[in-house]
Amino acid sequence: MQNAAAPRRGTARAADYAAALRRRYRIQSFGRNLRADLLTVIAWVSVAMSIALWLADGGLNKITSLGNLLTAAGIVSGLVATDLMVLMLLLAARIPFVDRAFGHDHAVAVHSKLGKWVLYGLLLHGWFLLCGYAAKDGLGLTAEAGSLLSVNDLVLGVCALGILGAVAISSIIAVKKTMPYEVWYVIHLLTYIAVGFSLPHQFSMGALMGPGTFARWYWIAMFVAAGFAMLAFRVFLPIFASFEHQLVVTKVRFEANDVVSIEMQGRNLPALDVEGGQFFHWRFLAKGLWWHQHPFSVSAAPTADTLRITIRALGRGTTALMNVKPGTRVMIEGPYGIFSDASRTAANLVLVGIGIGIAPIRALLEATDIVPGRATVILRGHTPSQLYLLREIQVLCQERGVKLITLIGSRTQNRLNETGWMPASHRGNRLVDLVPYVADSDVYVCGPQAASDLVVADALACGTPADSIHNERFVW
Amino acid sequence: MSIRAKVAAVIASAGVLGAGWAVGTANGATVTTTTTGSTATTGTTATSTSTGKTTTTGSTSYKDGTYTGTTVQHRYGAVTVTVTISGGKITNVTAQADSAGDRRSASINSQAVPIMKSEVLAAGSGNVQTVSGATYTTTAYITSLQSALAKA
Repeated sequence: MQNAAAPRRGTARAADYAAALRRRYRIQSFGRNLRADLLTVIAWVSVAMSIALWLADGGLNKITSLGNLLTAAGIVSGLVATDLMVLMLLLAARIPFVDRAFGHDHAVAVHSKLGKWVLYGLLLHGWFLLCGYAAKDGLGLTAEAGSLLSVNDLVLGVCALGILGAVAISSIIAVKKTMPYEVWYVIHLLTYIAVGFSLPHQFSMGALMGPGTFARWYWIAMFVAAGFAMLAFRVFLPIFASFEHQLVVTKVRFEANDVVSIEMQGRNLPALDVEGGQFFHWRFLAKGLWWHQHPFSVSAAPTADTLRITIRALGRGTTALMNVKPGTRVMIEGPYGIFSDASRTAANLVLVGIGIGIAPIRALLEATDIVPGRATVILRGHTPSQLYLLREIQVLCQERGVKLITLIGSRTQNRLNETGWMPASHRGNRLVDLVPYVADSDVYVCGPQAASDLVVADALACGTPADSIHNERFVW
Repeated sequence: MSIRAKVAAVIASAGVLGAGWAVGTANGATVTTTTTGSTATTGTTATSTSTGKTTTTGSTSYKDGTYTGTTVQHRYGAVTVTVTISGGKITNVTAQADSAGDRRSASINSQAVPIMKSEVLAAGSGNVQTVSGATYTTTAYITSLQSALAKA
């Protein structure tokens, strides 16, 4: 991505270059928004389609009594929930086209939001059908439930609902925080069993999906597509990439007491098409490490045969990684994310790195296009030693005509007792005081979520459009 | 979600729902005509299905007697239909509907069989609709019934 032809600052060509860059990024963001909108519309239409197929089957004509009305409500809520579940699977499949349009973090956020609706939909599905059947059979709810549960396929369906409930509970933020990632992950894997358990009753009991109907083929196609995307992008692609690129740790360098840069060498890395600022899920194949998988951004633009990450010991898993030895084999899933040149919208650039969040900023600084004199890097740490990779960033800033601002100290409060993200030396300052052109810039923020949120709010208050503010959240 | 996406999503979804609704009501209309307008529709369906049927449903009638159709297996059990013909017309139809052993299927069968019986007697032929909610049972029922009528 880096454009070697970037002119020196102040020349007449600089203005032309800025104009060309602005045009390129405007076209790029237009295309990305268009793709994101297109996917959004497709998602909504798929929901409409699930109801439309029921309507086309004469669903409304069958509503002739209260029992039938309740049954219809149960069928429709089940269909919508099933459609949303297929969408969730597609979002979780990390399909490159989807991730590059929405951003991986946004796709995951939508996935979590849909989870709640799938559960509500399925609970309504069960409840309405139970009531509807009871009304039609003239039975009490318990008698009807007993009669329904004598159907094997339906017992599986109820098990599926139970599993999905457990998955949903384990994914509520408060509950999720109490368990290690691996436990949560295994619970989440049960989703596949739940989907498998739910399938038989859909096709055997649902008259809508009966043999020989169009709806049957439609839904089979939906499930096959979701399953194929999952297998291809979550299983085969990562395994293939890991074998293809044969990454091995070559250098481990301490940047600070609790921060290391790990450099890896591999084959045919340009084929990965990594952009500075993107991340991978890394798995180091060493004793005690192989069963963890961690998301880390690359901390330097990749070269033809090396990738580098810079990580801080923040938890049990990352602490263990401090001792990784050269020669360790590495498996990868990725690259993911659009915290990169791919999400640029403007010619001017502001990069804000806080703590270990400096690592992806360092890679992005190297890889994205810059108009000399119209880019600023702001690094913040509690102490000078927390300005990781400072030496490298200084060199890059000098080479590329980028202004470097370092802020040292904890967050402070202003006279209104509002917490700001700047330290005492800049108390009361806003982003626009440090970067006059911030309103007309892309602002990239990476750091702990609380501090990042403050920077994002600051940028918004300074007039930067929300589309131009990039803050990738680490989500799982 | 941009306004453009919202508007496009609403329009596209409404279009899809409208198309589904139109297809549904169009099908529903044909269903009602086939069940209500008995004379007119038996003629049309008969010509479209087979020539043999025109003779059976039309002037010439079934042979008197009691005929048992083949036992038709389906996902939730099996159905055997016995039809009684008297004076060339269907006067009685009984069915042995075995469920696969679960109570839900038994309950569906016990509701569907009487409905089918009244429909067959009303139509006077094997040309009847399946009962929604009991698709498997009633599809098997119709197959067995038609095999019985074929003997008559």
